[in-house]
Amino acid sequence: MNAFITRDFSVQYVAQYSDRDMDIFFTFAAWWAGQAGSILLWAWILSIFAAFLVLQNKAQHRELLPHAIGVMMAILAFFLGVMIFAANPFERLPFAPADGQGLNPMLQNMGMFFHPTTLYLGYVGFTVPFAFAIAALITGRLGDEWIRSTRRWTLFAWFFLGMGNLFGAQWAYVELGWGGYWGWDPVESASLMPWLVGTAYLHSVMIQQRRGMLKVWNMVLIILTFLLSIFGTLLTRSGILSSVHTFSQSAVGPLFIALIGLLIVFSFGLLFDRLPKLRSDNELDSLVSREASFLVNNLLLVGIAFAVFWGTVFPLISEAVRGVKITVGPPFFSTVTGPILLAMVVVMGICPLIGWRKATLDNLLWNFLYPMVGALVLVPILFAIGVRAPYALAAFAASGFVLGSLLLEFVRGVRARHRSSGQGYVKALFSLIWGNKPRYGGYVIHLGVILIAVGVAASQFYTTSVEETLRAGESLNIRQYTLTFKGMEQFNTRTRRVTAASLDVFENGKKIDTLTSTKMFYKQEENPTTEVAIRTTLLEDLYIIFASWEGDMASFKVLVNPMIVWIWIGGVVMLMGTVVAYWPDAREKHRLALRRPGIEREEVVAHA
Amino acid sequence: MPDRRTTAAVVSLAILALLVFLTLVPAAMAGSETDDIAGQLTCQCGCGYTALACGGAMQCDVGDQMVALISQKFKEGQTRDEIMAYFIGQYGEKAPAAPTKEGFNLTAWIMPFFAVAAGGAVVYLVLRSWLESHRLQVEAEPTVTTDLGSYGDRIDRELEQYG
Repeated sequence: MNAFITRDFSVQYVAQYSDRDMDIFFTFAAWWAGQAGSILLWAWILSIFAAFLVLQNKAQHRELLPHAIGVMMAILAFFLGVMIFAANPFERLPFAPADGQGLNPMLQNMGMFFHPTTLYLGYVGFTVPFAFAIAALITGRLGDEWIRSTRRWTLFAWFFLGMGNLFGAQWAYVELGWGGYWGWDPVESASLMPWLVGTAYLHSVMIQQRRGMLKVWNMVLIILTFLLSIFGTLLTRSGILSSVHTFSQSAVGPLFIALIGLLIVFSFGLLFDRLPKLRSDNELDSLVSREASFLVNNLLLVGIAFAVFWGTVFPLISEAVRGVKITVGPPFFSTVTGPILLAMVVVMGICPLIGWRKATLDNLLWNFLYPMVGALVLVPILFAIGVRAPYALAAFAASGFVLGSLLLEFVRGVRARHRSSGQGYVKALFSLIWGNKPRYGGYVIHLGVILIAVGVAASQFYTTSVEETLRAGESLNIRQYTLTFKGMEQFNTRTRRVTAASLDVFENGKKIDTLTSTKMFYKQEENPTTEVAIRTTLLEDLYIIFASWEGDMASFKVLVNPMIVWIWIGGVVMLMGTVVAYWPDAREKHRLALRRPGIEREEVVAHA
Repeated sequence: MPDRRTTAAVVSLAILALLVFLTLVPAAMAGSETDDIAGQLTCQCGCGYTALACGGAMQCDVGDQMVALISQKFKEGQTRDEIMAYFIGQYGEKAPAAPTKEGFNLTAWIMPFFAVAAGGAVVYLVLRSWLESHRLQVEAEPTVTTDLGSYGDRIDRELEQYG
């Protein structure tokens, strides 16, 4: 960091990714702009997590901690080794250039600060539950101690990985060149896969904590999640697959592949050896139970992750088998993951309505009735207001079903609380959530996911676009909007030359805004970058791209993207749900201890 | 008058049938035929995105030229299949943004669904075996049957026991 701030261009990495004109914000973010810096960031975050873990567990988990720290240090040693032998961020040039090459203009966005850091917090965060799982396998302490001791770390890693994906989507949406908010680029897919398997793990561990079941499966899930995190890091920087995120081919690929191979052999070998000790404490009582529905949820989440993995690596498989390069892009991923995602959304609505252990089919069907009728009523209403794409109708109906089931769960929970404590309904709602944070925090997260699903479905099927070339004073029309081109303005800033095109926006004849889209020419960059202009409402985004100009004529591409803002709102709702679920819950500890006799007796006594 | 179980079962089946039907009907495209084809072709600039995404939104010259060529071929009266065949002839199998549905490429399409189906079969068999061993255990040591009663009762009990 010191080398960046003092502009020490004798350090090759500093000369490659910064220059004298960069402000302090991007100077800081240039740290992880390249491969060597990203690996340094991985190692740095891992070191901090390990130190924090030692401090956090000074007086607890004494048997597991040394082994867990050992695993983390082994992984840290790998990253340090990569830096020493293959990608050294501190390598010096034989001379110090007068100035550096600067940061790629596409990376000069606020997203450069939030997207990589949150993703890496997620990737690295999953090292902790993985390390504890391996520690449990080594020590033979195969109860749910390793899960309880890492529950918050897992939630932390899962949350930041999800936020990293959302920050990336938001960045790609506002900055041309990344292919829209989700382009199924291999690197985007790479960060989605561990999130999906991590989500399956977060659900599956609930069964182990509550019923002492699925011990082997939980081990498999957390090992897979960590392996996919390493795979994501490999794809981001190795260049083994063509990606807009990959800025160079490099020698680190084989090292990461070797690490993944070693981890697979070691982790699954250890797991195989411990299989006899990983027997379930309980058996399944009924096929109609929350345990069974969680297994279906796991199947679908892992199924989507597999579909994404398969599509991501299929070009390599095709080349190896047939010697033919093919492309696996958005049409494949949308077709293959679409039906599984839809089934996943439906299962999200079913799970909360099924009780633990055993539910009677009669009551279950009756519980489904209200959300299902709600979904059924939604279809003709949506059809009447113009939603005709069958997939969109299915997605909205499924989302309506989930919202209905969540609402039902809250309403009935509040009524139960009102009945038992006599509290008013509003107070009952808050005490219900606060008294059962993991459960209701989880439901709030589900709500956020559904809002994201609605935003994605609407924007995928109902985006409208128009392209026109205008002189000053001329207008174009799109949906209810009329855009009148005001003219262009050119000016220079310290780092770039800017051409800005402004348009007055009229909605149904009334002026509502003036938007400006710009083209920016950076020194040392051949092609300009484009900053889009966006006007956001709850219903839709008006999205203006200043494409090109010649003389006094400017070309624009204008899109109306429906309900995009709900993707970002969904992210905020997920954040709120995660905070609730993350918050310490003494009652949860008490309940778990009561459910699992012989475990944590001292803690129960202390709590009582 | 149908009982509530029948009512609920009929509504459930209706919803499931509707969802299955909706996912099986090909999605109507909101954009033009040119956009549709451009969304099925990979931009040959090397970005990895479709010609529609790269040319239209990202202002890539190569993508823009591909979109213009598609539009021109439509105006010349060529069909969708002829246009796709033209691009495959020009750039090979990397031209389509998704693998063709023939030969070895078919495995790309089948494998994910096969994996989910196979996983589903394994989950079902595991659940069945657990249920069987639970049944044997219950027969050996009879316990009180868990009748969950109403939804409200279940909520009360679960909030206390499971959170």
